[in-house]
Amino acid sequence: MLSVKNLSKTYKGSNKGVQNLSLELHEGDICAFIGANGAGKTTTIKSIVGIHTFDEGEVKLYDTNLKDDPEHYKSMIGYSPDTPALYNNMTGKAYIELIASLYKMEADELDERLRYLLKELKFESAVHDLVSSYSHGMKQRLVLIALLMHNPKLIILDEPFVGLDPNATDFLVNEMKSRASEGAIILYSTHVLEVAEKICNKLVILNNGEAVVNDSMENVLKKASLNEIFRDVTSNE
Amino acid sequence: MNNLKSLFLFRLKNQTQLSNLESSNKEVRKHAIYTISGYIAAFLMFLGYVVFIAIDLNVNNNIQAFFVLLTSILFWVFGIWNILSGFDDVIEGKDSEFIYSLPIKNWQAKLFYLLSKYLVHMVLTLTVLIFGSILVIPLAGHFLSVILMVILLSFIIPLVSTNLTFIISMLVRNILILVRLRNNVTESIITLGIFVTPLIYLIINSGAIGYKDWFINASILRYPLNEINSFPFLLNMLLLIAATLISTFLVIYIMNSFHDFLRNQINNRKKKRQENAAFKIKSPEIGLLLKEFKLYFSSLTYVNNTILTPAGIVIVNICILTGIIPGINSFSYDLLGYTITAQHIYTLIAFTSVILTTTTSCSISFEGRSVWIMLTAPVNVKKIAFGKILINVLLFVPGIILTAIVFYTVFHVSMLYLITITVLLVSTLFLISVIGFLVNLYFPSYNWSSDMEVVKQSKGTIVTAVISMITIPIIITSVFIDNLFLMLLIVMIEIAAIIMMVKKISKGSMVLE
Repeated sequence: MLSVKNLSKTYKGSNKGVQNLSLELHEGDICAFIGANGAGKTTTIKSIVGIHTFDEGEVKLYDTNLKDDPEHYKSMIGYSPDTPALYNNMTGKAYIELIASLYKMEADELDERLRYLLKELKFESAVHDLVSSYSHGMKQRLVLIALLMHNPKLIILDEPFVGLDPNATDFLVNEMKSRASEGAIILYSTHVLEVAEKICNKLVILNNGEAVVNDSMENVLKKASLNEIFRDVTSNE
Repeated sequence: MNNLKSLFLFRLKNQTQLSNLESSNKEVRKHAIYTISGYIAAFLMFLGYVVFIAIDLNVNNNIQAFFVLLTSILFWVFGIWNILSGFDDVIEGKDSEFIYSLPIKNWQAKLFYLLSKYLVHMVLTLTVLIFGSILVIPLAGHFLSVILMVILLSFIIPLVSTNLTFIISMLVRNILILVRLRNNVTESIITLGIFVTPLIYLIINSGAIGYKDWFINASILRYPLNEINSFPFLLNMLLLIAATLISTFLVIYIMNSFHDFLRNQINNRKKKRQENAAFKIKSPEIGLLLKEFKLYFSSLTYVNNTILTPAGIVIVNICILTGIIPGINSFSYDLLGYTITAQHIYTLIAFTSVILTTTTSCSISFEGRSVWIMLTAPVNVKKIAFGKILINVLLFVPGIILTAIVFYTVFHVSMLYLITITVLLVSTLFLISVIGFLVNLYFPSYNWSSDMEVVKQSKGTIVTAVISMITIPIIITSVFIDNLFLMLLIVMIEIAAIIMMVKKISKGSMVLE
């Protein structure tokens, strides 16, 4: 279970950030994180994955507190940033090897999962090229391979569909569903509301750093379509 | 042309952080104020140095050589700075795609970075030379001639130094590609070596002891002010103007006509690598070390700025061991009643080389926007530090081994002294590497746009350099006193400091604020 309690984060020298956000996600949950630009989605995500410090609150994955045991906490998560800045001087293969080493993967499990991921994402040949020669979409695919190969219990994706071609998008949507059915927790930010409406069972809408909607997708959709709700929430800005 | 001017001013405002002074974020404004203050302080310090040399030359009745010396210092400083910065950013900047998308002519986009460099260097040179003129004209006269010379030199010095270093860099790169020996370390050492060779040759052959005489001998302006109206002076100026025009034309022609070729050469390293199907998993420590090697050798600027001392110490040792520097043991001179021997000077060079290393002080910042990989991976700062510190230590391993050999075979020190001095050298190297890492941990900067910004101008590097300057005299004094007990005591203190700092690193975090 991912438990985020009263998370607050304000950037030094500005009043932007996120205030008092609480969230509870269970095994099998797919949660869409929605909000206008600058609403605090990336700030929240970066706080949950351990990139940013946060001022107040608690983030726990099962019994592991992010602040108390960040190494163990991070060994259970897989994260894809909104802009996939990678080590340009490395080949895709070297990057995968680095991530596999850091997550202390076994050779046979790596081999099996990689074969599947490289094939599905059509990356078998490109993996030997230097990252600097990759397009945005290819970098995104490499990040997905690296995060999925170690079977994380919590998958956090920041606008994962940006830059992906339709094949890769289909793969990711199916993979998210399949990982969730196997017990993974998935939290992702997006502006593609149609996909979110189809695959998510939880929804959080952020506005000016506050969660204005935090409910199951089913309950939310009883009132109106996701598009209408989003427009309604953000029109008060 | 107006578009180009606006673009140049816009970019300059961003680069110098002037644009951030208007930011709504207080932290961003504060950072901009610190950075701009740093630039102003550095420039004022240089102007202070100009005052010092004017006074010094005047006291020694040599004020007529003022512009010869100043021209030489500016020329060599700009040249070395150009080589350390590298020319990759001049050929293809980080914002190239943005520049090419703007409504400017193709040649303007190709030459934009080069013209920016010319312009900034010319403005700096003009300011320094005008400041120098204000100091010197009352003492040496020749008002109109000096003003005319200053205007000409403001073009000549920056253009010739930039053009010369560009031509050397491109020649070295192409020859190394031709003989298939190109890598950042070789390119860096050979380029700098070729540029400074005339300076070193002139220093060695000058017979002078003071560095001002060295620079006067190595100046492109050969004649003092009292000969300003003479034919040799005019000929000197005419030759410099010709050299400036020819080299500028050549560089602009190369940049304009062979821009794609030069750009491909930068990206050549980005071509497909040898395919090897097997994926190998290492321990996290080895994985991180390999990653650090790749990160370090990926930047010509990083290598240029940090390889000098490790390579320098190897070169000095090889020169001593092969007899290129002969009769070193016979050298000695008295200073304030104390006899300085060759061994003292050699020790000073060895320790200064080790202490003046700033490889680790920008190693965290060098992660740049890729830092999220380390921040979200299940590794602690201690493991990250291991790789980054070890890189710096490994760079010095050949130099330290050769230093031990020189101490033993050339200076014939006892085995006990040899062990003590080697241990002191190694512990000092670890100490300065750990200090650098710790400083960078507290002053990281990930949003940089050019390698030079993080390698030489970051807060971490500057703070570490200041700490190094304070450390050098302490350690050197203990070595000069030549007391084994004192040296061992320093080793103990260094080890204790390393342990304390490693504990601090273990408790530290790279997590962003």
